Amino acid sequence: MANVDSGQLPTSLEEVEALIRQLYSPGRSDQVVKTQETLQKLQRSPEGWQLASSLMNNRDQQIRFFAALTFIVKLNTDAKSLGEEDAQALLQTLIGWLIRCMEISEGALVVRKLCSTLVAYFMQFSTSWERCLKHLMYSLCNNEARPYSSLDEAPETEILRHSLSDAKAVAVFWVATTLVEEVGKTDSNSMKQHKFHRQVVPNVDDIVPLISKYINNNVTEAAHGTVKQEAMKCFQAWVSYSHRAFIDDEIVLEPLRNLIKPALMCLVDDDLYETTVELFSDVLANYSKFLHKEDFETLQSLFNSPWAQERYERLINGDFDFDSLQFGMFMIAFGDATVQNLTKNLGTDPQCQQYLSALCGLLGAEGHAIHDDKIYVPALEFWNTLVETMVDDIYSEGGKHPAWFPTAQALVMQAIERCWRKSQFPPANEFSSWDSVDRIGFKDARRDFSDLLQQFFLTTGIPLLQVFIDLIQKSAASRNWAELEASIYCLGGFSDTSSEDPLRDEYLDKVFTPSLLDLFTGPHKEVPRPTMQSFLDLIIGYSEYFKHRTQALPKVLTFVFQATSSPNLAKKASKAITRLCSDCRKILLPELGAFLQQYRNIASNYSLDGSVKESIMEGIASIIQALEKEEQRVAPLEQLLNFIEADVEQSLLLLSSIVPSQERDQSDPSQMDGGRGAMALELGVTAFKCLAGIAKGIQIPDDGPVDLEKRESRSSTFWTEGEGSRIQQRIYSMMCRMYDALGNRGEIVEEVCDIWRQGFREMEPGPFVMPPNMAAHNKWGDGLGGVLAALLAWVASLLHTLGEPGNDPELTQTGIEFVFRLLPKYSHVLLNHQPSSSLEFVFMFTLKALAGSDPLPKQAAAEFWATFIGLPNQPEPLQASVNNAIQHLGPLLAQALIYNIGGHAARSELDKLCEPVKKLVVRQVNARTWLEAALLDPSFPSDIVSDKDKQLFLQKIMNLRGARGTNQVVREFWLTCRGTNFAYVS
Amino acid sequence: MAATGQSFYELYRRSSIGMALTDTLDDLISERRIEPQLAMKILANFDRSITEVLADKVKARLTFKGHLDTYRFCDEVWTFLIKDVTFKMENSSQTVQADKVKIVSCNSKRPGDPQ
Repeated sequence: MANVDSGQLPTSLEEVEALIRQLYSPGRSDQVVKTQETLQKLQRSPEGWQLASSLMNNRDQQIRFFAALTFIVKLNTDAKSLGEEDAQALLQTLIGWLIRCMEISEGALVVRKLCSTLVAYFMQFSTSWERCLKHLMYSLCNNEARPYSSLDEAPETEILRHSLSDAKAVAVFWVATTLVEEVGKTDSNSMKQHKFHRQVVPNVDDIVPLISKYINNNVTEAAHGTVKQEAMKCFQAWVSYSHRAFIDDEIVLEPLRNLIKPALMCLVDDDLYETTVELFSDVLANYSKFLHKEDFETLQSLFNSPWAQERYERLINGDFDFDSLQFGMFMIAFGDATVQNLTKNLGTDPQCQQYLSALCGLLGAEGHAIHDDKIYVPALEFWNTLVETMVDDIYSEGGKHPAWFPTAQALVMQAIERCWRKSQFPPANEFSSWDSVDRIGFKDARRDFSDLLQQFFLTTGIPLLQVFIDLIQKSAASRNWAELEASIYCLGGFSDTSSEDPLRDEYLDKVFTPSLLDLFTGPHKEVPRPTMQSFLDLIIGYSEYFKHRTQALPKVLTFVFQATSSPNLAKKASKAITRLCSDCRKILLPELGAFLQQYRNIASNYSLDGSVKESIMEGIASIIQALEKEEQRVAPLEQLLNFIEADVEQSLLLLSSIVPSQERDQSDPSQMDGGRGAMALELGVTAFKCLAGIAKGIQIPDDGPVDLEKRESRSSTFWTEGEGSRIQQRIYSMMCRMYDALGNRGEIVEEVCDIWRQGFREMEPGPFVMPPNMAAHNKWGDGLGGVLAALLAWVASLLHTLGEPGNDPELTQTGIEFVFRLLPKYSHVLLNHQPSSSLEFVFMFTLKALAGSDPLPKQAAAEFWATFIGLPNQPEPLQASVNNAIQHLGPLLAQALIYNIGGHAARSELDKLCEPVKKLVVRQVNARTWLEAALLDPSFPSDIVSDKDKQLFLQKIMNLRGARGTNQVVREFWLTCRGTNFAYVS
Repeated sequence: MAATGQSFYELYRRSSIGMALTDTLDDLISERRIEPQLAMKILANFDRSITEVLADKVKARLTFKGHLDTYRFCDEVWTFLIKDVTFKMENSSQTVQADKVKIVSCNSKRPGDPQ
């Protein structure tokens, strides 16, 4: 046998056969790969045709399969080597082989592959084998591969179809199905080039009579189940293909439509049900124009038949087997395709009413949504579509609701009632026994229902809230927690849509009643967790209500503070506190002391999550923000900082008490001294989270009124120089101390940056609005320029240490991005960077990144150079430095860019790389010389473009003068350099 | 149905995931591990899958407010240019600001499909 390890090719047919057997036998994966490579070499070789012919009569089925595969490979890669006669001879060979397969009752594996081979042949020689299906039928009927030129002598298809045996008909169906599937997959460009539709379309007249033979009700009884199924699958493929033909060239395959009625009748045939129902569901969903008006009528009467009734009953009684579910999807597809008619004829056509009622019934099938009931979500989607249709037509009739609206609204209300039931959580132990996919799916289904409610609100307005208010009152009275939860959840969904309705607060008065609040704040704690959570969400959603209805505020606040003690509710409760404090900050001012006291009670609870404390701090800080004078804010802020400082001290104390150990990793506190380090870290993170919380809360709300008359006054220096500076210093000191101790931890760095960000985004002075040099940790020099210069020196030293960009692409990218961000405003910082050798290194480093292979550094470098070349004129002597740098580095930049455009870059990088090219062309007189030199440089990566192509490319981009067309020219040149193998995508 | 007749928009090929896929296919072709014909089929599958997944599986949502600057409807494609946009993500109190946002939206059904 040939030694595949050494890359040696087999020298005899026996050796090839042995290799094929080895390929299809179990074995080591590396051996299989090598065998496959050897066989592929053979298949692609000029002798591949002969090899396939020699193998097709082998006794071994696997080898015959490989022979068919080899023909396919050759057809796809080497069809051009065949002359016209060779091609006709090959066709004769393939059809002759198929006939022999029929004679020896060959297995499906080989016959299917052979059918695919015939289709591969068609894809290459479609113009010389146009009536391929009739020719195939003609040859099969004659038991002989007839020349295509003799097709004129063939009898009519009508006669041929009767002469074909079932087995031969199956082979024709396989070819016909694969034919349209393959043509359907052809991309638009090839389709236009080869005009495949024109070649395929005539075949419809040949395949339709054959399909008809097997799906027509009069003969189906007699035919074998398999051939009927293949006929239906073939019809399905052709219908699917006809959609593509319609989209591409508006071709309607009319003969196929003659099969719609007989195909519909096949729904009741158990052998054909699955294929047929799938076919019509897809046609209704994607290509309903294929169906005539009468077909819709037939479908409608089919849904009224006892057959449909029986299937419907099975489905809603909880039979969610595949076939049963398919029926539900079929019903929904019909509903989707006719939704406009169904709604608009509601008042006049009882059948529409009946059908929509049935679709409403699908929302009430047995079992819990998702976990048991698989039809609920698709049915809900239909109702969402219906409501969207209603919204589109709200004012379609002269500013009034159309006449059918009330009937449709009543039906939607029925659907809502069913969805409300489906949205109720099952008992906790049952819900927790579901797998996570079902649990997530159930919650998603609730949100989909909430979407429907919000859409429907647009057609009803605020009175829709009353439905859920009634349900809340009823379920609260009966202590039905699941119903109460679902009702509260539904009402919560309207918080955004109803926010501007003047009557909203009146409706909500009926919800936030003392009795309902007592239910949640009562001592018995009988309300289950999901209901409590939904009630907290309701408070968060409608927090603004309490600004206008202050009487309910104390009880609500008591409830939310109580809820912080429950680990499962603490996060939502703290969020509710933030929202209530923020929205009602002025009203709550007198209670500031009480809030601080509340926090004192909470602060000592170390089991509380850091983000919970952060949210509560944020809430209290927003009340402090409402104090009129800056001086008044100092004392309460000091109190908040005292809480945080206690955490900081505790953290530092823990860290200082840790016994140093040689063995443990000193950079990871969690590893230190039996968990003390971890606790210190957690306290540090919590402290920083709380500082960030205060920073967010103390910000001036951006939705306040703007006084246009107010004269610009000097910014207050209270927080930087006055009494408030004490607060800034305390905050800063805490940040520094904690950072010095734990600054090597990512969590700490992240939190400290968050605190700074809050201050940076403020427009007015405040305790967190610190001067830039403080942000730069006082280590980076004076003033912004000094800070940036020092930072640049640090970044440059990091890049120096790195050496090559590829050693750490992430650091390279961020380093280059930092330098890039300096450019627009602080180019002097970059150009004055010392020593000059370091500046040169930075420039060269970006060029290396540009010519490298890492995408993100390359992108950053391209942005840097585009911005650098495009810098507006700078004052002297800065401009001289810029010019000097560009003159020195321009040729290298051009070389790096051309190296990429010449095929080195990935396709997705081209647009980014075009930017510096465009800037060079527009702004640099030497651009042409530099680019030309780069194109002719030996480092140019492609050897398949000529110098003429390169000159033409250069000419084009120079002529475009940086216009957008440059991107397309660059893309085309890249493609030329890479070769035609890469032209598979437009 | 295999949905061979239904074609899908190619617009997601320009998304970051689509471009990453195309780059990977380019690499595989360069290494002669696949043929361009297979790459074409993979991209056609991608067009279909991403359309379906975005429609069916993505449940995250956001809301945004801004000033509608320009809108147009041409060749079944809506284009909206919105200025000073504030995005609010689900389950997050943080907002994201953008000076300008362009929204290009196509009919989820290709021409010839029911509207």
